[in-house]
Amino acid sequence: MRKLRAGTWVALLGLSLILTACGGGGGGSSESGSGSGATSETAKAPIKIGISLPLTGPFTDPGVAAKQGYETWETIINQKGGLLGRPVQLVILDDASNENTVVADYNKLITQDKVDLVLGTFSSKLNYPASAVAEKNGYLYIEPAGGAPQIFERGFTHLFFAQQATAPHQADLFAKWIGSLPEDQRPKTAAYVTQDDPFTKPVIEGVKQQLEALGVKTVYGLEVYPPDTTNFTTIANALKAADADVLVHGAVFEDGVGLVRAVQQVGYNPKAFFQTSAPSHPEQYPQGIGAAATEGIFFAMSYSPAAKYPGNDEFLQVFRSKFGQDPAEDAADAFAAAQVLQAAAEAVGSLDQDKMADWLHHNTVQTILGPLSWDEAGRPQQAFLLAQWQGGAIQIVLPQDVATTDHIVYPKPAWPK
Amino acid sequence: MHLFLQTVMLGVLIGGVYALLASGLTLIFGVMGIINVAQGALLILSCYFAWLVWQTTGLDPMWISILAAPLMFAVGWVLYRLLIVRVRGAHATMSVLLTFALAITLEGILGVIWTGNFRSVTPSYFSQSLRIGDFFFPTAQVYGSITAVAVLLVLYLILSRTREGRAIRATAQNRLAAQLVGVDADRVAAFTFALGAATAGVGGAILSVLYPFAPGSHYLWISRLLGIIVLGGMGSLPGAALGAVILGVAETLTSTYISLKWATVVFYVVIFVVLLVRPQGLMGTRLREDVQA
Amino acid sequence: MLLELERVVAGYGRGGNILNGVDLVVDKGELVCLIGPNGAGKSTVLRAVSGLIPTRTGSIRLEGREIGSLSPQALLRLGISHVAQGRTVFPGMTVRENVLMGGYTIRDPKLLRQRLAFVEELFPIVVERAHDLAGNLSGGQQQLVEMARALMLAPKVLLLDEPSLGLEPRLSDLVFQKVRELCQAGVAVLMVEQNARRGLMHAHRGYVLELGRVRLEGPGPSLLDNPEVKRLYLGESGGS
Repeated sequence: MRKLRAGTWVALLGLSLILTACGGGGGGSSESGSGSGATSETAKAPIKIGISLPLTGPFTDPGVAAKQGYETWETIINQKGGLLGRPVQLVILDDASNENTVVADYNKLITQDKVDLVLGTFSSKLNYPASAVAEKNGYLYIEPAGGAPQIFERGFTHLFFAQQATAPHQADLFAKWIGSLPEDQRPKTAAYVTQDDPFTKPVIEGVKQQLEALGVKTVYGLEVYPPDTTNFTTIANALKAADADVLVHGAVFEDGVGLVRAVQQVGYNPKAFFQTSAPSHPEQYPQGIGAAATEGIFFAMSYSPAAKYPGNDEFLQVFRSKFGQDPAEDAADAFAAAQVLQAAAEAVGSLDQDKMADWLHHNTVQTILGPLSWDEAGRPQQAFLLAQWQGGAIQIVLPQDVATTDHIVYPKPAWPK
Repeated sequence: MHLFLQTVMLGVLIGGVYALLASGLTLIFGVMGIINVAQGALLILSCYFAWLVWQTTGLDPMWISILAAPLMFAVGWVLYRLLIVRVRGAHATMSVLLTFALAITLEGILGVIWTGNFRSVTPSYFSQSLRIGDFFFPTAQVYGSITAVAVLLVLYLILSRTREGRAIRATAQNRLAAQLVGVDADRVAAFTFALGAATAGVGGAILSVLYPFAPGSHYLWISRLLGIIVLGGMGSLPGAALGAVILGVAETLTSTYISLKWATVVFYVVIFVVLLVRPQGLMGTRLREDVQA
Repeated sequence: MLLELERVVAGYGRGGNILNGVDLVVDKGELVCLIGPNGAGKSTVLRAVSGLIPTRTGSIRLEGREIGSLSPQALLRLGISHVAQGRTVFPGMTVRENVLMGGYTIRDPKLLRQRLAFVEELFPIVVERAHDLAGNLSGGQQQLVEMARALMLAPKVLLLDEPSLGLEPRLSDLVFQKVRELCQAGVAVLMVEQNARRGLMHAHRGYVLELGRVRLEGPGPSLLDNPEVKRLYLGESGGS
């Protein structure tokens, strides 16, 4: 009996060590578990906000950027006296880009660490299960990424996506711009191809639907290729044969580069070319396809450092001084998610999760991505910025109020020789 | 008919590159009985080497591949002496674990130094094509295939004409007998592993022009390369070349005539069917347990 | 004595002892045959002599010199060649390449040519089938190629592990005839044979091995007449 008890002690000690080690990833938070569970509203007790991010694994880059964005918000709000008069403390765990770990992390944050609030993680793949944990526990869940349509089809009431639109509407402004062209310049035919990815595929399906409604005839696609595709020459060959006026491509990154290289090799020159995600990498993309080849390529963005939305200057200033670089789009998205949470808490005047969710369903929040508002399922109702590569740099071309240029390159010049 | 010919030729071109990438893997397995899961990571390591040299000197990656060969040969030799030698004679699963660990370590080191961002090597011809009549051939793939053929030819000459090469072949065909005629098994193993790494050196430099790469890219390649050598027959160099061309052509034909969705899957279907009929692969020989020392 | 084994104890890796103190000798020009039941350690004796496994205790001497701790390569240079059990040709190489591999350690091309000529004279098949893949030869032919390969270094001691395994009688007679020719040329042959009758018939002397020890020894034909050997290994009743 004594022996058994000793063994149990060792096991418990080991378990607690492991848990402490896991919790240690948060950075500053060392004290835990001492609270009895009743969140005493002492004026100075910090508000703990739990987040799990892919700081390692395949989603490392957006995960680390999101961490920077969240931390920038933490710095700014604490400089201003905190949230509802209390300091804010982020508890950030690493889920290693793994769906099981992200679920375990949010469970731990909510039930063990008893954080006051949570914020979302990165990628649709991780937000899908993570948001279910929050919903089950009645926590408000504002996600900086995760626009795949399935996420909003589960009847969740506490879920909000803090970008301008879900995936099927990511390219709304592109379709609108095509519709705005005079009849004689408007493209007649279009080709659609996308990676089999939960985020890119709905985007391309959305564009196709909208362009078809405008009378643009589909001559190729929608063709879907698997994520491990490296060889794009045959796809390019088929695209050349179809010779559509508009090429719409749902790319993640390397497939975006691969397809552009291949269509250059076969010599297919569309008049307009929209691609998801890949063109938004300001350095890797021109390196991958050749700087001259970027001219005229369209893509959608959630954030532009040049946009004149309130709070953006302060965000940029603090971010640059903290990290010595410009924020990635993912960092800005995370910052905006925190802004949404802040707005809800301040409007309600407490951390009541239900009241905050209810308020967000009926109000519009000003963020560095522009104003955001949501439908009953948490789908944002705005539009992504339409960006275009011009002269080797990214320009915002639509909407006009935040555009960095009033010039749109059309038709797209032929690929460089 | 034009489309068909064009499609097949594109498949053969890309298959030539695959053959080069798979040659080292099959060589190492054939001689040492080791499945070198780190072969993909060695490829990516060489991609980074090519990228660095290209960025600083502007040298054409096809020339860089000639520099990469001796460099990676040395890397392979050191890796063998430090690590691989410790699982010699152990069960094959040990070598899989060890080389997988090596692959992850290399991936981690590359990630720490150069981040997870994709890199590209883009010499002037990377997005161009050669045209012959109505047919087009992507320039980089043509150069890649020519280099692949040259490397395979050099490998063939080393294996058939040199003393070291004969020792390698003898060890691959019958390890015990090779020892009995005085072949130093350890030396042959080190040489083979280094030679395999050298092919990854050449292959990586070519790969860097064909596709963007990141530290994690090796997973994609190692699974494809393992497929190729299983199809061709583990340990058979001509088998690897044949398997590689079949993969290339299967990919292009499927994506042209059937569906993009099936393009990367169809190859594994081919493997499945071939293994049902010939468990030892197209050009493989049945493993002979009776002569293992 | 050319080759002497004295109380040799040996085994594989970290496993137990297979040989528990073997004593035997082979003289120049002598054909010695080892017989015994499966697992008695017959092949292990050959492996210990050729250096494939280390000698744990005891002594192996070649011309009086201790060789128990030398590598296979070193022993090859000293004149011990081993033809292992089963088909051990290099199947994907031609017959000629196989035989040349036997001279792998010879760096002098002139010497290599001399040895090749010597072996070709002894084994006409090396010339007749020079460019055929060794893997395509019949079992008996492969056995001859293996012996030819082992003779490229002009060994003083030739270790043969079941040379007649799986061969039809006519072919195994041919193999034994070649072995005797070698002995006449002065080579010492230590041979393991599953077919005890055939082995002892051709041998000058024989040893019966059991549980890693020598149980009986004597001139080949006289061992054949030993009632115990008859009962145990020749499938005959002791009384006949």
